[in-house]
Amino acid sequence: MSNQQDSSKASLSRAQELFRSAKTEYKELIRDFLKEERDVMHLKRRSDIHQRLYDHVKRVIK
Amino acid sequence: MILERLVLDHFRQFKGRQEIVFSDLKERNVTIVHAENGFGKTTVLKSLLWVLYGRDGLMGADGKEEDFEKPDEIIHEGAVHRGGDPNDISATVQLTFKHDDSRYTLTRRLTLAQQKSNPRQSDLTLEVMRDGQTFPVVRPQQFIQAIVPDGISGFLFFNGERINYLAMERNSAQVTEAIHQMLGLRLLKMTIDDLRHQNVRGKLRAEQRETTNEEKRELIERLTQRESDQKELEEQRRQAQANVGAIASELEVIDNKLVANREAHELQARRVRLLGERDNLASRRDEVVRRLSKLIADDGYTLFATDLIGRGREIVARLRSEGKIPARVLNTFLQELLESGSCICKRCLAEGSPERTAVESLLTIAGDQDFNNAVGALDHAIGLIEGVARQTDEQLKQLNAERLELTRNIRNLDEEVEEIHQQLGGKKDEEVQQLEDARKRLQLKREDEIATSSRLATLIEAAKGEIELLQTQIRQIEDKEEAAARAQRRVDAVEDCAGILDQILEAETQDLRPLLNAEIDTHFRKIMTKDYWAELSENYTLRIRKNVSFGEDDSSPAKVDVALSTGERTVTSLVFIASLVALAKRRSEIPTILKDVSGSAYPVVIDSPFGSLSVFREGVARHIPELAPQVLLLVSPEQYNGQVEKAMNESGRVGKRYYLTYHGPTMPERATQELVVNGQRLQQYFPERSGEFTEICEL
Repeated sequence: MSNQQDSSKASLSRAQELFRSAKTEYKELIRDFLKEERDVMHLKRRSDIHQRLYDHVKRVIK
Repeated sequence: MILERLVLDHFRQFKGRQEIVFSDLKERNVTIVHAENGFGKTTVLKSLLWVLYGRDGLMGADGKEEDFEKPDEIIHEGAVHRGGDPNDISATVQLTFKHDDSRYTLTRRLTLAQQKSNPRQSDLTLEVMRDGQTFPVVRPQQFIQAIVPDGISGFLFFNGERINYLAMERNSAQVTEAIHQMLGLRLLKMTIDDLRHQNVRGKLRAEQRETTNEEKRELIERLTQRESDQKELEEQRRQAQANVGAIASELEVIDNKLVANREAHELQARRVRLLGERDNLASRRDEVVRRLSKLIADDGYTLFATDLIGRGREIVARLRSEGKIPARVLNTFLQELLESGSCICKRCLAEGSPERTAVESLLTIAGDQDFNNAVGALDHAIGLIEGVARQTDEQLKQLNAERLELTRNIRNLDEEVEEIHQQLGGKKDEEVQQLEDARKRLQLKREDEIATSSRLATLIEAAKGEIELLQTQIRQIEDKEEAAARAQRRVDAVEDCAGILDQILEAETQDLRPLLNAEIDTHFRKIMTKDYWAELSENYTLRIRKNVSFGEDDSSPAKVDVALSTGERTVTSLVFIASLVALAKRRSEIPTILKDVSGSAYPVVIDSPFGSLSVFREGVARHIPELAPQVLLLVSPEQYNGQVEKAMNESGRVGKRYYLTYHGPTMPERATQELVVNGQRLQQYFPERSGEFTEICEL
């Protein structure tokens, strides 16, 4: 079991490690932020992206 | 994306309908368009950018016109002057391409009415062909941006004579940007910037300010101010660095003019050589200084430890002479005797007996095994430090001598360069005088900008330190009110998430570096015959490196940067782009935290690919089919004929060839009546009294 855990940990990239070690609520926020950004990243005008990010923070951090 | 066909209709100097069918064969992936300078090569490149991105595509990275005058006059002038309904007169570019197993046709059309009112408002349609049927794609511009974001267009569609900027030290930010853009990491950067925007972090901080006590409010205000200062300083620094780049380009133009001037040619050529040598020596000196710094950081302390070592030796010698070290008898052994109540000589060690007292007195000079080991280690360490001190002293003297020698040589070269400046400035030729004067002014300006940039970097660092301190102070003030505590947690969440994303972006970018370096090295060695190698440094500078030995028996030669000529910079930049294109193709196999990052095949379109390559033309020509899955080259006969033509023919990778013919009242300057391609003579100029236009002909 321990070996399995070790090998799964070893296959993680540094970025994945960083994400994994973040607080649970930060993980949720980062996922939400990236999803919002992905939807609008190719648009010239991304007028309400800031409001959306702000709303996620207010929703998750009570 | 693999290009299949480009159709131009009344686009700029291309009259009527003209088309290029690209070679899409893997083994013959190169399409060449041959044309004299001024016949329309750049317009072909720009037509691709226009159909993909509209008017914005015609601008350079800085948003200014680049090689393309009058970007608002898209429709062929003959069609405009013929007259008629402005809504019926138009220019159209149509591009057919394959992407993800589907075929698309992208069409952009600009009517004369639109050109007159607002040339940005062209009509764009995109159709996808699937199972023999055609379907329109909604939001075509968004779709195009998703498969070829305009941020990467500069690395896929470019002028080969200008691409060398990527290999300039000052452009490491653009290299990082290229990696982020081409390999899908731009999303992280955008998210970080948006989180730190005034409308997110600023808004949350304003809410925090309203809910906290006076002391904390004041700190938050100071923090907001310092963050705004930092942003402004960073903007100023970016501007200063851009200015340095612009001045370097101006200097290059002046240097080229001086080389072309008969009066100045010899001296200028010598100056170029001397400056190259100077750069080389300066990079060697930097390397020596780096080695010196490392030596001092690692072993420099040993030089100041001489007195301490002497005193240590004295103490050890005294303890030794007193018989205190090493311990001749182990305290564990004495304890065992006392516990057993019997000595090894069989005498009884009864309580209060003189024999027991004698054994107990031995405990004061006894020690344990650890103590004896420590004595041994101390002896060893003293000897070692003395040895390292001697070695450090020798190396320090040697490296310092090298540093001084290099500094002396650099000074000598500076003096020679100054002498050349004096000689050129004193020439009677007015052009030379003016050029030399302009050069001097630009140099002073460049030094000013570099000094400004470095001053700003110090201020930015100070601001960052102060911001960190303020953030810590703010967090330390405990909030009693629930609302205040929540506001603090929200600000912390934004700061921390942006910080985590920063680290993730850096980790992902750094993880791509070895993969990029492996690609860069493979491509580079195929072009360069010298014993050099190219690499992307830790700070994302593209450089060519070589080994420099300090004597014949130097087993660890120093790796130094090679001072790059324009040709070498161009090769390095092309190699970097080829490496990015190769990694982009297999992106889905490279681990990333981001979802939906898929691999993409990209074409590379190069205007004047061989212009700035100097002696590397042949090597690049041989390797060019390997640059990307599909390559379009727009070449002038001046750059193509000879070595390049031979190498391209030998590669057997040219699938299609076209040439441009010019029709007009007079033949453009320096053009010839006929174009010769592979021994075939082709008429390329046709006298035409009633106007001028260009046509595309297949070879």
